[in-house]
Amino acid sequence: MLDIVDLHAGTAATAGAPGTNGAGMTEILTGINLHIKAGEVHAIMGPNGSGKSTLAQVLAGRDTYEVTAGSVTYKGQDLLALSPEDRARNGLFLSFQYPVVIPGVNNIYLLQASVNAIRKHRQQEPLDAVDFLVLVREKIAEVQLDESFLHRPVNEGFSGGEKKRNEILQMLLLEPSLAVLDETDSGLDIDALKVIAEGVNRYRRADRALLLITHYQRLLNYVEPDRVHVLMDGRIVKSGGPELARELEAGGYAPIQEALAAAR
Amino acid sequence: MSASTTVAAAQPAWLLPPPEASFAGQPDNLTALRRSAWEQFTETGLPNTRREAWRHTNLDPLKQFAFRPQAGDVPVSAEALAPYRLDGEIGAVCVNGTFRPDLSNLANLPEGAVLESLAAAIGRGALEQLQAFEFDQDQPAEGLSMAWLQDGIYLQVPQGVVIEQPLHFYFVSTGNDDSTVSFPRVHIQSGDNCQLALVEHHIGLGSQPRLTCSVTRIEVGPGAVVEYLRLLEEGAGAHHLASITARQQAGSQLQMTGLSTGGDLQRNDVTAALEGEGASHRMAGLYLVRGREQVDNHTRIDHMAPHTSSVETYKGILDGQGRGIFTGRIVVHPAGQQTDARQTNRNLMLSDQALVHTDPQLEIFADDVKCSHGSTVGQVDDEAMFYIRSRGIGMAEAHRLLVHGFSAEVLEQISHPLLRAVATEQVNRWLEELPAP
Repeated sequence: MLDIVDLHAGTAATAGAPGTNGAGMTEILTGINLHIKAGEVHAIMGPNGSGKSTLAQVLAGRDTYEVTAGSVTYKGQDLLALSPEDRARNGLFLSFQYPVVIPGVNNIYLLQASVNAIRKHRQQEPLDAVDFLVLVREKIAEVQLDESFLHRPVNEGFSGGEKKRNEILQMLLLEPSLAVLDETDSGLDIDALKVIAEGVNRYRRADRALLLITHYQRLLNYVEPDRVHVLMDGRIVKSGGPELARELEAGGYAPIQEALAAAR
Repeated sequence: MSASTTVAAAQPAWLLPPPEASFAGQPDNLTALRRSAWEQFTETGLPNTRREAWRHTNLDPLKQFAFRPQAGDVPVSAEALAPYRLDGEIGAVCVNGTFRPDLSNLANLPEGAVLESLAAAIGRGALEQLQAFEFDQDQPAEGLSMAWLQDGIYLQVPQGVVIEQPLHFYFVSTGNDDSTVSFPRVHIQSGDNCQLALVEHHIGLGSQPRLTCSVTRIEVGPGAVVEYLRLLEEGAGAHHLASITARQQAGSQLQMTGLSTGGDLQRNDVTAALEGEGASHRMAGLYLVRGREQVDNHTRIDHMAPHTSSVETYKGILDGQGRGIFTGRIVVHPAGQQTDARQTNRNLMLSDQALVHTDPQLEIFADDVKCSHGSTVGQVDDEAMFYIRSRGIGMAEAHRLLVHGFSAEVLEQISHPLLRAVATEQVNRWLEELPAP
């Protein structure tokens, strides 16, 4: 479903700054290779600043990052050539690490507009307000968020946990084929974590894939990954099965960093 | 000796003395007021940009237009107003400044309330405050309006009367062959503890350049609750100079919202005097500007009694080479102890060539008060734009959504649901024509 080959990306930087290459870029992703098949769950773990969120944002099409080399193929097409909205319409979903507050725009309005934009792309009839309300009530109950959140401005005054539940609500409504969850588990108490995990497990299907970006192993106790990757300095330095997450939880990233240093 | 001749620059009709025919049939007291107003206006004329209050708005270009008052008895089809009608409204229509009972529908007006031609009300001496006219050069709309006054709308709501249906005052200007000037005028007197919600709606049906000098006076009696919404949607070629003044007595609540979309030039002078203890005021404005349009808002709120409060929220959205001005003055008089006044002005710039001037002014002469003000000028939030697009919504719609969201804070403050709906529709009409970023 997703094939990332030697992906390099960064942000424009002042010339001469540390880490700057000749083109005036600060390179954050330094050659990522990652292959995800339909039905699989992959987890990416890594220390702060390793490039996890950059990868998520590059996949969703954030234009503050520039891809300088490599390719990303999604369902056989060049993902990097698509606008953010076309990526979403083709079934890519990003759950934001920091969901954006949008004053003055009602949550339900954005949800309905999103669902209908994606339905239109799938050549389905738009849902009217009544049909949409039935659907959204069913899904909001699944993430255990009060219906009052539908009628508040998007993410305005939501707690951290409420914002993350709202992201999962969007995922359940938009029914993507590939969901990228960027630290959706960060800052959640155990009850909220379970709700998120249940939502993620409900989303899983043989024709859908999931990329979990996380700091901690605890989400992986509820959502068992097929592969776990360690991201450091903008590239994947180690991959393994679910046991790798447990190793990291026990020993941290230091042993891997030391092994890398020794090999150099 | 050589004779010298001086050729005065030709003045357009609207800057010449009103013709004698315009006084025909008017009550004597109105004629006297008009003559006095003209004499005062003509001494100084239109303000120029050397005057502080007119620094950003130059009225000289208006002199090139031969605006001319149009007859008030021209035919206007009911269909022209149909799109704006509100359910159950009490509708009063003025055409080119003249009250038109034939186009009005006052069936839902409660017993005891008076809604009639302003000329008739002045004639029978109903307007005590119009005994004398004193001209302030910074208020040319006031001077011209009084000098040329033909008619308008007078509303008087007696003590304790609650009007649930919205009042809707239409001011229609016509003139497809001629440049039009009109002088619509509204006087509202609301008695003790009465309640009403009113829309003053200016609609231009003509295609020629036109000028409207509108004057609105709102008297809010003790304990009365009044909501006033002013809609300006006059289209290309329209110039509008407006003066809106309100006075509030003890314990009254007044909410004034002004919405400006379309029109070449608008100047809105809005003042509220909180004269009675415990009066509370909400003043809101939304100015949406594109092309080479300009909207100049001057507001003033006077806190003249203890325990008065005001919340002022003005928001501008500026595209193209549009210009917006906000000058907001809050004056707390020595008697205004325990005043609570908050003012914000926020501007969303959609183009590099749009311009806004924002100038909050606080003058405080009491020592126990809470006052705050803040103004911002910003652009569409890139992060929010990306967030919305990442949900499958295209760039143009995402942009409209964010711009609408910016306006929502003002629209949501409108209490009466029908008033909020009609204002929202006007904003949506403007947004439909918003080009993609």
